[in-house]
Amino acid sequence: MRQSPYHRPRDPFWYMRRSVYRRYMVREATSVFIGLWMLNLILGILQLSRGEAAWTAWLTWQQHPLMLTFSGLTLIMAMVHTTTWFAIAPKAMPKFIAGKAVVHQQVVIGHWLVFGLVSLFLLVAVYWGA
Amino acid sequence: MTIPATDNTSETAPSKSEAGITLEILRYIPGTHSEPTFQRFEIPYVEDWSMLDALGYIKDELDSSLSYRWSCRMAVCGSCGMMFDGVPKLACETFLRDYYPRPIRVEPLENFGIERDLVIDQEPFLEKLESVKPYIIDAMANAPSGKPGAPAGHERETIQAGENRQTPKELALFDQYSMCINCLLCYSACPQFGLNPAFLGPAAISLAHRYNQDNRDQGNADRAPALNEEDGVWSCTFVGYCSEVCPKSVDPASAIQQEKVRGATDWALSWLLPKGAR
Amino acid sequence: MSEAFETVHADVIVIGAGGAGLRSAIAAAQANPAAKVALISKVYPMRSHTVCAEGGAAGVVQAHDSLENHFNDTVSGGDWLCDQDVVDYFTHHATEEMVQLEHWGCPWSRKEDGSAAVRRFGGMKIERTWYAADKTGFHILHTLFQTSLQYPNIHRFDEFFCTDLIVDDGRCQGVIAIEIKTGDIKVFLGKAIVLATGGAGRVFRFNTNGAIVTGDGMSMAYRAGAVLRDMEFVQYHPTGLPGSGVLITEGCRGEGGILLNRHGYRYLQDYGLGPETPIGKPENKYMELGPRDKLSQAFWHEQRKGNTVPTPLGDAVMLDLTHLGEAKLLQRLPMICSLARHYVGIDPAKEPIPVRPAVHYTMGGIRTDIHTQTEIAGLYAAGECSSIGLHGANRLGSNSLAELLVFGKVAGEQAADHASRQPPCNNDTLLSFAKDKVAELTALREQKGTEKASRLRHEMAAAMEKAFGIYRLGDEMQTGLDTINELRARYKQVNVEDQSRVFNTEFLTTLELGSCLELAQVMATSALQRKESRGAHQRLDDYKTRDDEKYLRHTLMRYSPDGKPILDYEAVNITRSQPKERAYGAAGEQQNKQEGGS
Repeated sequence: MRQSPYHRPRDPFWYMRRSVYRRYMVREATSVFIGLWMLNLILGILQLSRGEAAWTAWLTWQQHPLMLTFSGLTLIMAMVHTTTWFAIAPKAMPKFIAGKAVVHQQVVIGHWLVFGLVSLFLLVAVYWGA
Repeated sequence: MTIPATDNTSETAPSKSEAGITLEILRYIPGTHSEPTFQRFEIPYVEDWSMLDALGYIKDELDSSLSYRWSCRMAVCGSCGMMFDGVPKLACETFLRDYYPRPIRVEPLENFGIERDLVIDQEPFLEKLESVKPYIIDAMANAPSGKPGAPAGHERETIQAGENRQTPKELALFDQYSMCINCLLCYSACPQFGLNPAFLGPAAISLAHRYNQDNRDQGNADRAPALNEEDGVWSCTFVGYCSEVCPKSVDPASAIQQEKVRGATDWALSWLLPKGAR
Repeated sequence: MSEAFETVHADVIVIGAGGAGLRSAIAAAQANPAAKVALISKVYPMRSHTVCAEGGAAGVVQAHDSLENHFNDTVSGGDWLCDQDVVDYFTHHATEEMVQLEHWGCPWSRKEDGSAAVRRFGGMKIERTWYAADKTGFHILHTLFQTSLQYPNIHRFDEFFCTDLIVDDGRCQGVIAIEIKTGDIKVFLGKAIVLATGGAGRVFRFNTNGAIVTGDGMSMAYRAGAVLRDMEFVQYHPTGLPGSGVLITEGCRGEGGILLNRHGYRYLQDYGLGPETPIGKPENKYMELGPRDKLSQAFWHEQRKGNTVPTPLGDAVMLDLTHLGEAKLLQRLPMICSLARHYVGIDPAKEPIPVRPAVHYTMGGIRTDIHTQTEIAGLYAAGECSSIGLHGANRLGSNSLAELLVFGKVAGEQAADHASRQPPCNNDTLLSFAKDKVAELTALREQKGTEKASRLRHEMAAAMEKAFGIYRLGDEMQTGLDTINELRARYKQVNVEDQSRVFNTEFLTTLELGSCLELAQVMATSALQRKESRGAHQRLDDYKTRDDEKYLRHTLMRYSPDGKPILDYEAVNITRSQPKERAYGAAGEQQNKQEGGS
């Protein structure tokens, strides 16, 4: 008669045990900040639809030191997320494209290039739009 | 868990003057132990010894009841995966010299049920492997006479047609993923598998991907259901540690991400294209 | 008192799930989709020792090659102890098995045009060794295992350790097995049984074999009344790593690797394999591409002359691959690179690898006819555990992977056919037979003896290595046999300390030791009685040469309950190739010319 195998209790702090897990948890945690900031943005759009007074109040709130700190933190978190995401992006690529072996470094550089160009375009557009 | 100071010295134990090293091995014998405990073994330090040699010494000279799986001792049969100081490795490819003089903690592979001592329950993996249909499914096989178990006549015909063409480039699309030795280190490395034992997991997905990438195979659609369900590729959150511990550089993390891309593309196409065109 | 056991019924029972067992199971499942095929193995199929084969599998494929060439290479490689009808069947069916495997997805290495590539191999006149880099056995095994998963009528029993065949009324009708993870005993009853349990290299101390290669199947069949044949022929592979014995494939030399002694001299030219071929231009059947027995023997002589390189792990010669360049090494021999790095700390692209001969393969085994049928009705054998008559006195590299496919398939089909023509088993007689065997097993497990199995194992392996190595002497062999007999007596007093049931590996290794000792005795007796030198059996006493008059015969060994094997001989089946001098290098070329360059 078979006894069922022994299952060891799982360590609730498993993610603290290895550096690779800790880095992973940091990467995942960045999304919390980005998520909250997106909520803030949605709130802004909502305020915009409610008229000028509501919109201005929202804008003023954005300049509050607390909000500035939060936005700055979110920016850093977004950069962490971007860096880690770009670093693992090559793994999601096929090994060959159009018969040519995909070079991992090129994929990472390509991502940063596109990221830089889009950011530049947005900056220019916002600056000119204002 | 406690570490009982067991005295296992026998007449063959090394004399005090020789260099020694300590192994703390997790012991569990169902029916004898109610839960696993660490047992300490003092063994001679031999520079060339792999962990497998060390375990062999313990089994032959100190405690014959120690159980573990092993066979090829050249890192290809996949039997001897264990945790050394909390890192999943093959015992035959891990050496005392990389730890000496510190004591080494030896445990069965994490995230699996323990049958006994360092022996884990591999049955769930075998079921997962089977569920992804890891074999060539080709267009010919769908012909009425070509089903598995079809009369030998059909097989003979196709054999006489000779081997399929497959260029080195086509081979390179999947050969890396065919290197999986089913040692299960990747499952021990995967926290998602630890949290959700139903997760298909790195090795099974890599082997599914290996066949999906093979130009002789037509079975993508047959494998899709197992891969695309919640416990399939979508349970992976890309921790990436599976690829780090893989002794054969299979890179299961990449296989999983590529299957996610395939799954997402197929899903998008199923909305965009009319039914007949898919 | 016998313990209770469960019974499992099947039509075909395949024991062993390595290359031959899986190929048999698939063939049986295809031949009769309604038949229940039980595939029993003491390890998970992908752990089987086929996984360690590296170099490749032979099958004629090039236009300038021929089946006749493959036939001649095999027969002369085997020093004319091959059954030539079997060799013919083999060469005719090897290539289609390679193609079959290709259709099942085996990732054979390819040429640019997409056709399968072949490489040079020792003793083969033309390149005909199909390969998947240097992991051919691994890929063959995994391809077969994964393919087998699609047959619903193959029922796997992984990690079941078979102990005894059930033979009643001259028919083999089942097997007794221990379920390793529970320690429970299961009795399998079937209408046909295929043994595919591999070799017995672990009888020797220094070997290339995995821990599981302990000859359980050979011993089981022998005890059940089947005949063991040509067991004195044990192959030394010329290139194992010192210390561990890890295999360094012949493919290294096929790709152009050279062997050097301590003076940097390619010593093989002094042993009838020359003249020296230019580095980077290997020639078939010359120098490093001579057969395994000759190369291992050359090492022995070099060691005696003091020409080998002393290493901390023992004497060695150097396998130099540096001229092949890193790119080619990584493409063709990636596993060798990794093994050398891990186990001897050497990068083959920069330094030569120290190597020495190690026991690799048992040419002999369970005697079968050309249809894989043994002496016992309903019992078939295929692969290394069998002696179908293919390898003779020395196996050529890459013939064994091909063998397990060709004859694995035959065994599966034969067994399925036999099963379909058999009446149902007579349960009562079989179960009462099983009960007795189970009682013996339980008695051994619970016995309070004085001998430690691991001690006996070490002594056996050392004795076999000393007396039955590359070269053998009559009086040394006698001493070796005496030691084995003494160990067999002590084995009766063996003590299994571990009395637990789940995964009791001490008990299983004790049973394996029993098998090894049984086979060691057969090997030793066979060797002692063969008073000539042929292939892998080389004597240094009064019998230094081949004696076709007396010993162009297979050695047969039958079990006797008194513990002394019964010796007999049988004729070799020679159809068209009459024995002549075995010649390689320039001498081989000369011989060929004299015969009109066949």
